[in-house]
Amino acid sequence: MTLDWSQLAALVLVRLEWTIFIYFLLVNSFYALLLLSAAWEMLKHTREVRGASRWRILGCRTAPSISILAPAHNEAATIKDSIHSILSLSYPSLEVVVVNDGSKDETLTVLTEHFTLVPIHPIYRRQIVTKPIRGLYRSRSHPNLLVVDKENGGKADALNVGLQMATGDLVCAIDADTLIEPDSLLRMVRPFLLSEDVLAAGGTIRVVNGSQVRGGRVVIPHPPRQPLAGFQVVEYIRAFLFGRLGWNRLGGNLIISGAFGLFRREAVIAIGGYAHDTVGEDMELVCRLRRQGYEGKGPQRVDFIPDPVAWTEVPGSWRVLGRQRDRWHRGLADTLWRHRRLVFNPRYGAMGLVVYPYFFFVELLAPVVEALGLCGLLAGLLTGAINLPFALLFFLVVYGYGVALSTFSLVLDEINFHRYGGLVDRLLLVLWTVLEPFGYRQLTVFWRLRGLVKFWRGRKDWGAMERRGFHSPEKSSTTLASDRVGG
Amino acid sequence: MDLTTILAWVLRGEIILLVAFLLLFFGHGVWLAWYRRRSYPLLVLARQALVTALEAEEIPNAERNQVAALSVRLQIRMFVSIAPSLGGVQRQRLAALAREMNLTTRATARCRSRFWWRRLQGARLFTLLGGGHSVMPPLFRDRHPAVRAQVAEWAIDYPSAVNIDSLLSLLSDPIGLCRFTAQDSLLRMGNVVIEPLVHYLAYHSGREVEAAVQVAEGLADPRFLAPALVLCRDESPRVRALAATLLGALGGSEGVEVLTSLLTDASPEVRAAAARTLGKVRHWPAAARLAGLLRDQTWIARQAAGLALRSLGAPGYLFLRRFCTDSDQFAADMAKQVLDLPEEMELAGSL
Repeated sequence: MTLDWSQLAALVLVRLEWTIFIYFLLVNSFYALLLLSAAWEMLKHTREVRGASRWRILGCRTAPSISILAPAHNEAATIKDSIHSILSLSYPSLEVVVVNDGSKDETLTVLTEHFTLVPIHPIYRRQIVTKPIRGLYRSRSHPNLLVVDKENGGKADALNVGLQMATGDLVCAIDADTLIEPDSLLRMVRPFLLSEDVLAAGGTIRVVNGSQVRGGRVVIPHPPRQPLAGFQVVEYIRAFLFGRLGWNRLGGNLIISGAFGLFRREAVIAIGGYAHDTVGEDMELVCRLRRQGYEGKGPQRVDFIPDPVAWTEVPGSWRVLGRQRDRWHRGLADTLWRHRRLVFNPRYGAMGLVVYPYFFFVELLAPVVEALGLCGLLAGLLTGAINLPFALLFFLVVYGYGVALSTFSLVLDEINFHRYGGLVDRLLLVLWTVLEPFGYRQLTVFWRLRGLVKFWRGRKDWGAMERRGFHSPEKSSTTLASDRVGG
Repeated sequence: MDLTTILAWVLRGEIILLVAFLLLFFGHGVWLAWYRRRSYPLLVLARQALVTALEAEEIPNAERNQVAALSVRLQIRMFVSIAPSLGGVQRQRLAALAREMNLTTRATARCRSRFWWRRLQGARLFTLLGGGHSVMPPLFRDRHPAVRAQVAEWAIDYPSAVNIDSLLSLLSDPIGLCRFTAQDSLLRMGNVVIEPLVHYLAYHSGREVEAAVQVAEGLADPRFLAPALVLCRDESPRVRALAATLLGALGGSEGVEVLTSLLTDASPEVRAAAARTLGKVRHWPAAARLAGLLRDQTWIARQAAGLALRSLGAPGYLFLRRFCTDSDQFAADMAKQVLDLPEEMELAGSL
């Protein structure tokens, strides 16, 4: 039997679609496994912390000291409130290191005047090469506030300076515009007390858009009414909260959000700090920390803790969100490329055999596969190579299964945290969950593909971000050091 | 099976899943709203009754009934939220009321459960309400670290010899949380733990004493001097460094000879700790030895020596100035940096 070109093309198309169908069936099933793992971890965590007297740590002289690193670039408008909010966090031995990363506005002047900064000249060990430091200041009104003024070098450079200036046993890297809940550090320190093998821990990032914020605190959380921010709320709950929690049991996390993560300072310095030449410095750091741990047969655990919460503002415009997602995907591609030796390498245990392959075959390649699948499906339907039942089945497995899993993560969030009260809030969450696969997801596929192409071309720019701010409805446009970071 | 049948099955399955999840999602919200509406008024009344009961010498029946009207879960929640802010007689009355409500019986049962989370809940109840002398001590050897840590917290209010011994044995627990909690409890117990701790330090060494030396440093009693001097010769550099710091906390002239000898220790961590301590106790006769440490191979030892010389005052400054022109560039650099420190540094606290 001979096939002509059109028959051959149709056959190839059908086979390809079946392969992609099976790929998504496996991927979504793995997501289901991650969610089940997250549910188990959540149960264990709740049992451990329910009724625990976290506040006792406040009066404890043996608690590990924490230095908060807050890089700031042109943040004169918000820096005062942000630093006040950070200084009011509950922790017994807390140091705040603000790194002014070559701001061209009045950031340093605002800090100097408001916090009564005086120049100091500490002796510090320069273990990581950074851009030159112009001055060091300590606050007379808040002795635990240290301000470093340096030449602009990007977020990674600012964090590296902060790492060297900090004196805490643990360092907490945050974005200067992140709102951290007051008892978050008390919760976040727990894995470090439990095990010396823990090198880093990540907390939950929630979306602040739509919520009521007063005095630097989220007083009443609400899901946003704008679809774009609403879709991101669902994404954050599914992927950033329960996705990462699930990895605790399945081989450990590979990402700790740059907006809120706690690290052992010595361990980070020992591996040379944050990498300058990547747009995904947070993931790259965690990857390197864990890799070093495996290679040196030392500690390599990275835990995710669900209850310390930091609130962040997500992009409110399609253009800015596109730039963010494109940058995150470039960061992912870059990190995976740098650490390609890990893939299926038994020397790196679960990290090499499960975590890395997942990030490579699922997180990195999924947009390519999904774009191929959608194009193939369209072509197949138009040429008649694919019938309607298969197209519907494809849609149900790729998107319907996804909606079910997203709803399950809403259930987990509701049962464990019930942050969003009221019927309207719940209806909104369900609405964004159901609508997410129609248009939004395809756009994220496009942005991620664009990120891959840019990575291929070697582009490492960050792009500007626009933030509305927590207090004022007026739109302000600033380029923040904190905005130039992956998720 | 043809594609349409598979499609129907998948569709059915997904609809069932989705409906189930939505029912759970909204159902939980509805249940929560109902539960709050039903229990909150009762909880408010019970709280008021509890406040009245805590102020009275005898617990009035009306108040007792108000508290008893709550579900056990809410009773526990209420007692647990109030207990940490009470002390003395009121705490005793709260414990008595908890006994009347059978909460201590429940806590005892939980402490004997085969599930670790139930034992943990029981231990937490006893920590807050007091009591549990028969069931809590065996939990010092529980399989689960969270339970062991909780018992360590409970022991603060019961500084018996047996409990102190158990806490001391937790100082060498493999799990950090247990060591941390035991350290904190011993520090909060205060003077009563000094003698047992001196004994512990005298008969243990290596990793086993690291946490204990930190407790001794916090308590800073002169009785720790003898074991501290012995531990300065421990095989572990970390213990030697901690012991040097302990000598600094104790002060006095007895330890300075040992500290001066530690300036030539093989471990830079120990050399740095000894230098810091000599600076802290302002032992100026050691200035020349400290100045020699400015030529050390490691940065931490050079930094500690520089800052120690600075804290010695005039003799230290003399050596620092001399070393500014030293042939060893590293020593000269450190001396210059230390001399360059502005006075604000002292006010603001050193880095």
